[in-house]
Amino acid sequence: MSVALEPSAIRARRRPGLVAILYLHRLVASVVVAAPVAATVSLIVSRDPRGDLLLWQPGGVWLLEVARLLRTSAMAFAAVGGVAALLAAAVGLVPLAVLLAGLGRRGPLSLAWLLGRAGAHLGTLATLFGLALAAQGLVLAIVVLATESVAMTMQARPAVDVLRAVGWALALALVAAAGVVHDLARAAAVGADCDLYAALTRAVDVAAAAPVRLLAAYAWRGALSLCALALAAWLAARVGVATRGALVTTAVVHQAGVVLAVALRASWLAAALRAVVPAAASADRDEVDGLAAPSGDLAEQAEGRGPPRPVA
Amino acid sequence: MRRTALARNASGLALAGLGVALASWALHHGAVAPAAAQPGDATAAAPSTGAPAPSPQPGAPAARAASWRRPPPIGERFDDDAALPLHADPVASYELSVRLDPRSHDLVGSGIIRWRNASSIAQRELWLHLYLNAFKNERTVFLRNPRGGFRGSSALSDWGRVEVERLFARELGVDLWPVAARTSPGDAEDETDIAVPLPQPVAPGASLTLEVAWRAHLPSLTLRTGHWGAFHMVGQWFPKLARLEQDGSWSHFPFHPLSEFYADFGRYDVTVDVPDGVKVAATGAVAGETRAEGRVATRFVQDDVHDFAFAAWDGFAVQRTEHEGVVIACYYPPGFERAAEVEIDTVKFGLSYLGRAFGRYPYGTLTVVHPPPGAEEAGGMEYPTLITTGGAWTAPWSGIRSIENVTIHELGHQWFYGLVATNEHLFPFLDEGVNSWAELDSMGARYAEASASSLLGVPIGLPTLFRVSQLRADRSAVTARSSAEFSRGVDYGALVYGRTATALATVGNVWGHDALRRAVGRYARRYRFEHPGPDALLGAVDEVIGPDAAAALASSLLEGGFVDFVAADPTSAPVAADAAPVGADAGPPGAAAAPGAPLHRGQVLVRRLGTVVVPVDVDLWGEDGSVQRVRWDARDGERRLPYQGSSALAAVVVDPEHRVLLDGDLTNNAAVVGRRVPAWRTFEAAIFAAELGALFVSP
Repeated sequence: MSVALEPSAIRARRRPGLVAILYLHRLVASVVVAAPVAATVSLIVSRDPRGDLLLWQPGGVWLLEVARLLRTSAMAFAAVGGVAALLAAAVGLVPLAVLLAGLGRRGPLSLAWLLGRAGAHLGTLATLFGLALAAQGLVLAIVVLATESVAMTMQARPAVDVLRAVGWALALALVAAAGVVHDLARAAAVGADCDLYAALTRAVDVAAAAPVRLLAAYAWRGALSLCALALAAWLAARVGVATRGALVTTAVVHQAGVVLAVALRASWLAAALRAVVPAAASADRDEVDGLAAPSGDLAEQAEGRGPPRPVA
Repeated sequence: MRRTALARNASGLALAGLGVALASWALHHGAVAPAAAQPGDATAAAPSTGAPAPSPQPGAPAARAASWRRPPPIGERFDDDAALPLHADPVASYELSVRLDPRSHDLVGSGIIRWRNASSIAQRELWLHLYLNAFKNERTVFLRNPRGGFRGSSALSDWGRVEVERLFARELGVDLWPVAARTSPGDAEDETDIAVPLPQPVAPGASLTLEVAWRAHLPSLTLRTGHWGAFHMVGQWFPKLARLEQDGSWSHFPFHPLSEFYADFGRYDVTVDVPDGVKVAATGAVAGETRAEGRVATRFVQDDVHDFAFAAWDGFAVQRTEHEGVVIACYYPPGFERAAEVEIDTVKFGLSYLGRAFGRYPYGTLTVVHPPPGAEEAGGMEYPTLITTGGAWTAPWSGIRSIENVTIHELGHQWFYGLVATNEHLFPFLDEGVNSWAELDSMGARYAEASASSLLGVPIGLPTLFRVSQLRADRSAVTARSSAEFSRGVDYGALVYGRTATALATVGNVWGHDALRRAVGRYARRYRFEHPGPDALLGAVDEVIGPDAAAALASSLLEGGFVDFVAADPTSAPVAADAAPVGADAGPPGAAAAPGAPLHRGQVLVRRLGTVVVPVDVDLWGEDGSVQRVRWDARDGERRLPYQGSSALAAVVVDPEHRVLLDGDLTNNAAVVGRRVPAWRTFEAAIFAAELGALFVSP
């Protein structure tokens, strides 16, 4: 049986299992995207007893040989990988919705409830995802094109390159801002049980009310994620892959970085929930949740205005 | 000149001729199929000297007719600088004055050309290169024969030209220009290769003093030379005498899009007049400067060179330093200070390394020009004592050694083109290819396997890049041919730069880098201030390393040879421990079996496809992890190598250390018995890469 949490108490660390589900989805999706490339490389190098260790030899003879041989297939790989990535992203809305639903609850959660709550908002989440991708793409294109049109009128270096760097930084900042609003809307949709329009307006209102605080909350977690991943890559490069043990260690180090990044993502989503879920409605929300439960007893309870009962 | 963009690169990836001598050389050696000659493309080979071709090696397959002739031995005295020639024979010297108008991009020049008939035949004509006329209109040889896939930007926005006004021969008392041809031989549309008849022959050893005057207009910067805004790169800007070979024939040619240059040595004394505030970077040392009426005239002098170029721009910043007695000056755009530091540092390293390897740099100055952004087409070029580089101002921090590589490459041209003045039109591989090898050798000495780049901890070597670049050309294509014979720019780059460098790198890997460096060093010192052909280089390799190495090089570069090693059919079976040993020619003794342990015997099939014969290592892997290495001389096209070990044969790898970079297909170099090993490392790396990508796409 679970009850709604006070928004101020919403923390990702309360739901490690749901965070693990988010990570597992990302891992499985990455395996699906990576498998065709790895299989093709394996066909090329597996006649040599050293296998793909050849690709890590200093000088890069085999690395560039494989790249050369895969060149003609690069577009196909990009297309397949891109489609797989988009599909994985779409499927990833389910663990995301499950996480958002579960973060706002205290107590044991049933799979049926989680999936039901998640499923009720999948359409909204999918629409938000599409709108966000379009908005971010548009912002990126507009800012980058505007920067380039100014840069082309200039000749002096490094002024031109500095302008381009500033332009890209601005574009990425705007994309991140759109991402923040997107996450707030998702949190509102699942955590505050809003439809598409309500979720969007709630997100915009919350973002407008405290833009700096929210961007800071997003930014420090994002920066820490990037640092964790960079550190994982750096450490793994030093461990290498020369032996089986080194390969396992490298994989562990890499995944440790990814786990930390996912945990920080979940932490941010929890912060988004805290921002959008209204605190005063928590008692009413218990009753609303009770009415939403599939149990007929609960519906009668709601009609009879009896005491609220937690949802299993 | 540097290789194509690869690009970057790519990039991507080097015999002076005299009419009848070239035809007989080609027919004798059967090396190069006679090409469809361009109108006026009168070329001929340098006379080959020396002993007849070496006899075939014992046990070798039936020898083919040699494609080159061994010249007289050079000798060990050219392994250091003691016997180094100090000066060139000054055959064609230029004392010129030129006034540049940066607004109209016009040049007005005049001066004296002192020329001596250094051949054995009386001369009844002179030949002039008027290279700038290549940019006169779209009907010139240069512009009507586009060769995509190499350097050169798109259409010109401003044509170029050079117009001779006077060519007065003092000794003959006549202006030769009125009777000079107006077009290249047999080509009414081209004016770059001009015959100048003489009213009377000039005997061997006799000289002419020619008073010359001309006007030129620089084209928009499309290939090495021209203007871009206020920046001017001024190369091949004056009427230049073609080289007269010793047998009396002229090495003249129309300016082809893939061709470079060729001329006699001499003294260049050039005064460049520009508006005040414009900085000039030029060949040679400054010998004086005068200022008047808002202009500056700077005199540059340099002996023992065969060309003169200069860059002029009012935006240059300059850094100067000295290294081993050479004054180094770097002219660069503001904001490129770090790039300039890298270039100066690379030049210092190169002067020392290349000087020790190929003979002391003999000049007092080395000037580096880093063109401003937008004028990149002026970069990556060599002139005597002047080089142009290039690269983004961010390159020093990128992990890609583009600036170092272009700098060392252009500096290397001071030896291979500048001092060893091979015919760049007829055999471009002799300067571009040999110099590309010098580039990868020197950068390898400095940066080991990361000589090209070190990105994300992955070291990539220049030999790898050259190997990949040369695979873009047909494996049977001949490298040693005239630049006019290449129908595609990509083939020119792949073969002239890539294949030559890769072939030389293979020789170094197989027979020793020190030995190859000594061979090329002996060649570079012996032929300093001369104009050798391919035989001279091959002769040096033959003399220092041996006939097998020379034969491999000749096969690869002159005959269109290739090599592809194949490993196949590894088999083995357990045999009784007391079984009779294998035959005497079985190869390695194999791992001795422990008493009572089963003995495994087997064999593998190794094959050499192609005609380039290089010895190669073969690794025989046992199931117990043991590795036996044998050496196969590869003289036979294929061989069954025996195996004996305490475990079954698991795999075979030919050339396990990738020494034979010329091998066009690495995927057939190995064979395993049984199940192949999955690419777990790649799988793990790809998963992590996908997870990183998911940061931007995944919810």
